[in-house]
Amino acid sequence: MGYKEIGRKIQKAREEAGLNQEELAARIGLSQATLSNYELGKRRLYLAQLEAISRELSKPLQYFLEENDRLPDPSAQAGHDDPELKEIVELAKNLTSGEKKQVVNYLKFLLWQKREGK
Amino acid sequence: MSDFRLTEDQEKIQQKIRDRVRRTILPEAPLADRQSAPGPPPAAFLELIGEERLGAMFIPRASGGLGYDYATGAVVLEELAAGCPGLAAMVAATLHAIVPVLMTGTLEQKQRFLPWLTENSPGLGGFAVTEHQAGSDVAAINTLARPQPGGYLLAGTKCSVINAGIAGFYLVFASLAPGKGRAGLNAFIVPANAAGLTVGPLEDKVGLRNAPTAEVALQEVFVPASHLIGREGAGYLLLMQTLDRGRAFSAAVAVGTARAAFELALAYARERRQFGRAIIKNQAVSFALAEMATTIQAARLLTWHACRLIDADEDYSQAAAMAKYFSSRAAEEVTAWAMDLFGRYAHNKTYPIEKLWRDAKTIATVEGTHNVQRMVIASLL
Repeated sequence: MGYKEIGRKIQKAREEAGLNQEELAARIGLSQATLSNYELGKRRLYLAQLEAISRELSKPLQYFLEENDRLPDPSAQAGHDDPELKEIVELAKNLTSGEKKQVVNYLKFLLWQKREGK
Repeated sequence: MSDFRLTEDQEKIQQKIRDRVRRTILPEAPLADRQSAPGPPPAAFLELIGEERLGAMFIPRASGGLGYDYATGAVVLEELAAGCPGLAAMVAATLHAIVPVLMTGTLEQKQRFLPWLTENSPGLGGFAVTEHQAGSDVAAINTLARPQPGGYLLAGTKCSVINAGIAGFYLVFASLAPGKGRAGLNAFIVPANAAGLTVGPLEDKVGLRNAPTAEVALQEVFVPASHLIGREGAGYLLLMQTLDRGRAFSAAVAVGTARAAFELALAYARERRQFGRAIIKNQAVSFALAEMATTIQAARLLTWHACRLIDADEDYSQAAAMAKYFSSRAAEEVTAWAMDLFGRYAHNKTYPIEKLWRDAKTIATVEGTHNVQRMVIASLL
């Protein structure tokens, strides 16, 4: 659900700051057990708690929230960075499964040509 | 040890809502539900919500609200659901929409947005999170927020928005950083009359048919910077906190649904005579009723426990997920048992039992399916 990853980042940032759990917990008014549960992802933390941790460890909120395990959604990305890629995705949506395979094969052929310098 | 007795004030509130629901909601709810095409909720629903100011139940008295805690809110929602689960869902959706403002809104935001619920009648809000490709996976939300001078432009389509078309405002979750998942999420208050906001046709649902539900499309909708709740990038944490709290009051809706089915089944078992005696005299029937009563009480206590943890500002995430999981399963089971007990009458739409059975199935998907609740519970073991 994302909380384990957030917890791992809190632990990493805390260790980089040279603090043990008791020290950080004391600075933000938590018990060591609560902070330990946050780091293990066994207790959900919310905006107020993560803001306090973020301030104390001098890291932006986004540092803790950014996802390392999420695969990019090509259809979502295509529209923002590359209008041609978006057009390809949009056009391909109307094709049958067999036609999509033909497109994939043609793309592989183009990439093969590029690799071989043809 | 928690004390689960209601206070004198809570008992008075419970009785007041119960009386009104029996008088004005019970006669209307089945008729509205049976319409072949979904329509607006009955006028009695809107009158009750407005006159009892139910959308403002968690707003402090100093700000013009009722100042209820979550435990009292659970009592009220159970009573509403016992009359019509769709009515309770409309109130719960409004609470979802305002909870983030209450938790993290600035003083200025509270002064601006809370009167939309305290001063307007019926005073409804919409919670606009779900998208066709982003249900439980909220970090996949594709509705975009683009910074503009003085605010943001929102673009995207939300689906399954309860109170769509009758809400005065929507709490919309949108991403400022597409592809960054939870780090990009943000929460915005969007007035229902904002230019570019349109509401689709009402969904023809299986259950909770009396809670109007539709898509809300945002086509380059401008919202001022002051409508961002929390701070940029805080949307995911706000959403998780709102959903965790919301599970406790969705659980109360499930408890009320189960109770309504049980009360109908009990009355029917006392009245229906076969083989020369009331069917409740048969152990198979009385044991089924005992099972139902025990299941409902267990669901209610889990729900109240979760609410009390919220009120005490203690760790409530797992307790709320357990309450929602157990209570929505209880509603499915109890309504199914009641269907069995009603026999062939259960399959006649002039009897209200099948409506509750359908409502229970839909409640099981609100705020996350059973499996989502299991995921939350398991992740916190």
